[in-house]
Amino acid sequence: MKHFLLDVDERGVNRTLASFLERLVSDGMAGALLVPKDTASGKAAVMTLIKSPGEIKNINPFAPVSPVNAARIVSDLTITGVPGEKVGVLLRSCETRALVELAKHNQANLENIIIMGMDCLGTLDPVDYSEVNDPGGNLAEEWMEVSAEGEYREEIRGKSIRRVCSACSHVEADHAALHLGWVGLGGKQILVSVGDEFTGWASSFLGEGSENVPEGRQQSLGAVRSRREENKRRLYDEFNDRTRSVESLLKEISRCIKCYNCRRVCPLCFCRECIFSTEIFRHEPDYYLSRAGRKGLMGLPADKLLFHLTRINHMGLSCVGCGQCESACPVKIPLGIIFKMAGERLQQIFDYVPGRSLEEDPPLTTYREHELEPR
Amino acid sequence: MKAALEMFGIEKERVWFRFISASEGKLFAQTVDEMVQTLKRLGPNPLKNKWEI
Repeated sequence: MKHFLLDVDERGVNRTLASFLERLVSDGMAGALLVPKDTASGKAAVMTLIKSPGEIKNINPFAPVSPVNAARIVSDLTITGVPGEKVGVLLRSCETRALVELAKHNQANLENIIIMGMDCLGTLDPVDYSEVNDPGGNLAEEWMEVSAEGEYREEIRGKSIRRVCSACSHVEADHAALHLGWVGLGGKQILVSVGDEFTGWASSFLGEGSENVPEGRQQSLGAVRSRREENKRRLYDEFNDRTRSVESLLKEISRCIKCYNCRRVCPLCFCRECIFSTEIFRHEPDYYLSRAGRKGLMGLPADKLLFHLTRINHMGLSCVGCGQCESACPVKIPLGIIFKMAGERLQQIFDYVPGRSLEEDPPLTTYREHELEPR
Repeated sequence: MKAALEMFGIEKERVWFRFISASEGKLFAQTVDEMVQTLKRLGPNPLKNKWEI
């Protein structure tokens, strides 16, 4: 990777980045872009596929909100084939890692996709974002400036970042051919890190570039990571106690209404037909009556525990800990932390880190004798 | 799977995974017997009664 510095001009971060990305399109490096853009009301920043360079100007790339894990969107764009031209997709770490997992499971095609990464220090719940963001405002910039200067925060305009984000140490996005960094740069510059295919292009207008990142960035990144690791240990201790027995796990999930939102938003729950939506879980009336008869009564909807345990078994090895499940849960079950924690423990068994590498086979698709040794 | 179940307090002895070749009929029968004995010893899954409703 070669590193270039992009100065933020008087128009602010968003406009500076808009010009930068416009150039990417006008120079023919990408035919379209998928980037976060504020809606007209300013109440949401949504991933937007932009074809016309003139439309790039109102983007909000660093908006601290991730309404859906964008890996899902890239999967939708490419599941039936390769896009006819290169599409640059701007993603945060949990999204690039999910995308790599999806590509490995043949749920996304990375051909003609340019992964553009960005620094992320956490995102707000979409509801909180719409409360505190103002149309045409500079919330992202505020967040970025304060964080970039090394001051550690988990709060934006009085709203806390999502709980899983506070336990996430993935600031930089992996697998990016082009990465936009801002942590540890004082808010007035953006670090553009590029792989070979973009070095020539970047040096055509950003100067020579360097092999090294600016002084101070590594320290800032290190400081954030250690704070996040600390948060994670604290949260894991808390949730370990809260879920270590069936009774306590039931306490957490007993208010589940089986809306399946967690399954719907999970980037790794990609089965076309989920077993919970099949005939297997459509029962005859008498089935319910006989089941109720066993204990004298039965709570409905049924099989909540079975649903969550099945989901952990199905996608735990691929869970990237993006926490979309938790944000989408209408009854506020702390699914994000529970799944991240359980997922990491399962991943450790196979020494597997989801999204780490495209070449690494998903553990359940390979057979290694030592994995069957009793443990 | 065992690890996931154990994490939430479900005994891993309830799930068995064995490789038995098609030609090892006797071993298959033995394993089933063994499993039945173990499950009898463990008794019904306590989960059944832990469910709040």
